[in-house]
Amino acid sequence: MPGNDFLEFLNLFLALQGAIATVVFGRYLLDRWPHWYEEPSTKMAIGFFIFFIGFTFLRFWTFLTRFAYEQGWYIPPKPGTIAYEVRPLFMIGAVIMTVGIICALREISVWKSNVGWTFVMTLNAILAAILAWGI
Amino acid sequence: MMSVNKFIEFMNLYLSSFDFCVMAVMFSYIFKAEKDMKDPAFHLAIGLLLYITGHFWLRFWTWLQWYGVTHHHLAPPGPSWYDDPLQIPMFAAGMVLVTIGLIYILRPLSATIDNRIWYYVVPFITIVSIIITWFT
Repeated sequence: MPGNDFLEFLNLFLALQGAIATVVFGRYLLDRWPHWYEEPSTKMAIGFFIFFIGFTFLRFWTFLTRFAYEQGWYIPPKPGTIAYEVRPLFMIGAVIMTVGIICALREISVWKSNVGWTFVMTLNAILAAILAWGI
Repeated sequence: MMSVNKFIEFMNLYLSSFDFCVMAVMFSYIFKAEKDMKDPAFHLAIGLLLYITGHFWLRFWTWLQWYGVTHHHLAPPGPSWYDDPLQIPMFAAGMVLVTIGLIYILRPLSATIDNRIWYYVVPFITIVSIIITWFT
């Protein structure tokens, strides 16, 4: 059994879960249209709906690159790594997730600042980049 | 030239760090909220906390693996990866948290659907994932 099969399974499992959550959040929002901006619960649901779109996209794309490699359709540089040309797609997924989570966090948290949460997420990205490339 | 693995390391750490922010906010929300076990919002909050904690676990554990690969020259996940008895239980723990959390999220949000459906949907997607991964 090739070693990366379990990660392929994990990515597909989480992507399908994300797809179900996206549909359920979408359906919840459709039921409440056109009163989306009147209730905090729908504003939070919008945030999580966007988050799950990004999450499902990211996990499906990771699964597809691994699955295609296993099937011999697409050959990334090394097993378990990401080719340079597909990196922007991962970044798009991460950006969608970040936007969604900022929308959701400002509704749940007592701290309602969009700018503040954007600053926190940017700080997270900088710290992650420093740990990955800086040290 | 930058290592390809460092991009995966960056993505996992970045996403796990914002999972951590959501965990902290959900945790404080649950402890400040009225403890009404029949309130769907309370179930939703618990579900989100479990779901995000599971993701944090999975992402952070993956990040640790890649940090070991890029900074301590450990072997990347490959055929010998299954030899390490710690890997599958660590990922399985995250999967269990994510699955329980998702069921808690879906139940209050889909009040018009029979809630028992989620107990069938989750094993169904597990079987579909296993078939696609190991039998195609």
